[in-house]
Amino acid sequence: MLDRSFKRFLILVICIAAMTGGYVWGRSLGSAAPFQRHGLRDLSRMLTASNGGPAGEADPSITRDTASKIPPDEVFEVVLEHVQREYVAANSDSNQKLSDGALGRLFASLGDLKTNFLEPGLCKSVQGALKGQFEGIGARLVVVKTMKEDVEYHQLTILDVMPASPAEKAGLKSGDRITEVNGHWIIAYSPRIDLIKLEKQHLPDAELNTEFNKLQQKFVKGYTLSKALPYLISGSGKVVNLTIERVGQAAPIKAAITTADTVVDPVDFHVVNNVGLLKIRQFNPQATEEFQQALEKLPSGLKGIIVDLRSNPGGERADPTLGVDGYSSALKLVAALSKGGNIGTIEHRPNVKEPLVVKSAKGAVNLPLVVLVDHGTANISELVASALHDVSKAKIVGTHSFGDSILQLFSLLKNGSGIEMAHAKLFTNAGVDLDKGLQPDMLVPDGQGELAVQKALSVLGA
Amino acid sequence: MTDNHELVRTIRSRMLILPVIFGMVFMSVLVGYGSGVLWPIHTHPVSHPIQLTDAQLTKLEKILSSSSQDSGSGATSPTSDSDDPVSDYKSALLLLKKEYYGAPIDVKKERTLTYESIRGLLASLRDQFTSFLDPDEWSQFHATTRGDFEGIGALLEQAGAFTKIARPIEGGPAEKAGLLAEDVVVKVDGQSIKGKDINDVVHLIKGKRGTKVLVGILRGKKEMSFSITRALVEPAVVQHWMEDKQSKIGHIVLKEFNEKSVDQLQHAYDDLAKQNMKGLVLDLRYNPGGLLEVAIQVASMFIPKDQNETLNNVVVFIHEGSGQEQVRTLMDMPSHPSIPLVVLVNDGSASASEIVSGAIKDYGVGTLIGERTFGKGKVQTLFPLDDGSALRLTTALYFPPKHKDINFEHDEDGARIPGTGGIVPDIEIKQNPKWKVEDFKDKVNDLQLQKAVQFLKSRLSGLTTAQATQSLTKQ
Repeated sequence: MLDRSFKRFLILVICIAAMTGGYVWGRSLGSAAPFQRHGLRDLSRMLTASNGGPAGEADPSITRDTASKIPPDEVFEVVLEHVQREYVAANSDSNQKLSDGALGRLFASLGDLKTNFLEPGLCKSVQGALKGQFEGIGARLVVVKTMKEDVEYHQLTILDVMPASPAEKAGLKSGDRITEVNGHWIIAYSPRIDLIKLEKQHLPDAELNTEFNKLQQKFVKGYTLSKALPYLISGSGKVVNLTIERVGQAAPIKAAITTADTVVDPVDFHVVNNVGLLKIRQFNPQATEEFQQALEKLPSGLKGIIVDLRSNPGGERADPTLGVDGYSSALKLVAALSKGGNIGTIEHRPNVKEPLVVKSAKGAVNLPLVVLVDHGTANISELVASALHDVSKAKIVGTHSFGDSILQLFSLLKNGSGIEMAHAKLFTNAGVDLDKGLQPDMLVPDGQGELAVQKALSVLGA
Repeated sequence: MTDNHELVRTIRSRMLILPVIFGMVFMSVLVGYGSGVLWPIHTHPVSHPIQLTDAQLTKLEKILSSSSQDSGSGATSPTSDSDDPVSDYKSALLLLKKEYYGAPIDVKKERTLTYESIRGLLASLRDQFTSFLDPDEWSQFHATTRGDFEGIGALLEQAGAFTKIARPIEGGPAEKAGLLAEDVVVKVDGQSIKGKDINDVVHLIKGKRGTKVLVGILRGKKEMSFSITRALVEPAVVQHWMEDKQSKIGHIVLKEFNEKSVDQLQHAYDDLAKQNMKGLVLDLRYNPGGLLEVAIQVASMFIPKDQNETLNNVVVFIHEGSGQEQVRTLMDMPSHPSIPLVVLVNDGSASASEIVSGAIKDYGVGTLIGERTFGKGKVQTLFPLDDGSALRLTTALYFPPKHKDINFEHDEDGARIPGTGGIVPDIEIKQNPKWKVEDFKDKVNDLQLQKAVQFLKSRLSGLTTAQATQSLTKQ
């Protein structure tokens, strides 16, 4: 019996082996078949190559149809292989450099100001800043897009200056536009615009040539945003020379700033006239911890709480393990200060919307609220202000807020580089795009910080 | 079951097994073959490399210059080596697909993003001769190389609302038909071209060889019409004449190193030799280079073999990126009686021009006059890829016989720093800025040519190279 089942087993094995072998053999024969498209293509290539025609003829066998069947990642792989094997200086080119180059261009090609590739060094700086450990000049920067006479300008703008930072010491302010870094113009628009202007002047050839060369130099010497950024947000102990334009000031301001590390304590709480003053400078896990602690130990008999979101740039969404997630921090603040409810709409992709609902946290505070905002209140800070207004009847006091609706996602890649990416768009409950900024219930002009606090206190009857 | 039954069954199964196995194998081979034809085993989109001439490279640069260059890279900070750019690229793409606010990444978008990634990867090499051509750019390149020389053989120039004939090319259809310089083109195939851009007019006039085009012109006040059969018109690669009829100094202009260069050069040389040439100016100014083989042949025309023991007949050393090294030596070419030779070079003399002028300088068989050359000691290979795109990659470096690196230095953005690399002439003469390069016939303003002729005259009057150099630089 044993013998027979063994024989059967053996036959089975032979059959399977034979079938597999046959299949593989047949498949390789089939693939190499002369009438098959791939075969033809190689043949035609060999002919052009051996003819010695320097560039050959366009490969007739590559039609749009066959070409589009080649998966893009294979093209990427083949190019990389050629570079690694045949490029003249392949050994000195690290994979890191190639990878950074590829991803840098990939993300730049999206043409999205809120989506950036971050090389490892820059990525570390950005991650640090989101945690409240700023490098460079110690400010949160943003690129503002403006249109003037049909021309799109991209201006590097200071969103918020961190307390005790080099930027603050140099007198920089929210809304300042950085136009030059170390004498290099930060390219703010497409060279085409200057070219068109030049063409319209109809200059004689010689003059046109000199003007053209000047123009070329301007853009060659200029820094792209991604090139300027590391000087501003990375490193410490280096002098960086800035040229700044400020609204209402005709002459540009020059500032030489020595970069340094700036640590930002995200939350400050104290009581004034029986009103709790909760200042939140930035949303991140540390902020959550600190405001939760403060709210747990509220003294009794408070008339209300002022949530000061002035100069709070917001934060980004991120995997909890990265220690920078500001989005959940912001939602937790709303949960801790409300009975919960519908606070707005989140749009994951254009026209794919979902209501944003917050559940009240355990032991949520139920006191009258005032939210302080200013021009530097941006992004998820604006969401928080609008949410507290809607679900906790908070009065908003201050100036019109910055207006930034794009929630960004911060992610790390394996090699230490990272990506900041436009992840979703935020709307208020009333369906208003947060890009438009919030109009306060009580307007206090910019630069009158004390007055705003006084107004807030009086709203709360203190 | 009895033993007898058992035996019968065994025999039966043995008789059956072999044909069954063979049948199965046969079927599997068939199935496999079929599947192989339908879904071929994917070998890598390998390619048969093609070497590019420099004229083609220039053309490529024009096509590519329209696409933007921001690689998005800032101050670099080297950290641990990433294991694999492919996996970085894949995870970045996946992240975009899953988390990006914006239009969904479809197959088409994924392809363009991949091409952008490839461009970024290549840009990180900071080599201006390395680039990627997507299928559109690659086919556009083919179209321009093919169509370039098919037409009526005339150089056009914008003239107000119209386009005029700047010059008919010698021996071309336009000249044969009777078109003259300064004729103003007013109609093409009966269609008025008033107000049309010169490029559109060129487009209308160009076409496949053998086809006809009706060109309406205004000559003075007279309107005329010419029916011209388009043909393959290639401008001559070599021009030559006796520059100084008294001293018998010849002038040969070599515009490019292509398949026709050697024959035309030989013909020009013979023609001048017949006129009893005593000295020669070989003009390589604005010669962008071309085929390596041709450069070696041209160098061999002017450098006698076995004259210099240390240089060992080497014309050029080639170091390939794959690690291979090649040494190319002088070839057997019809020998020329050694007459004083000046090679004119400038900032536009590149690649193959630098091989020739570098070898002539290193062997000391001629005197280089002019300006420092461009500085391109690199060879590109073109790899067509299976998706219809192409990769143009610098795959080798070459060095002149004395093995000096001639490549220009570049800044952090990969842009060439003028005044670095290249071959420094024996006698540096800055050109008169008024010189008009067209046809090398603006002799009044051609300071470099004047100096070359003066130098040769000194040599022919009996001065040594050193003495002639001294007398030229003293002034």
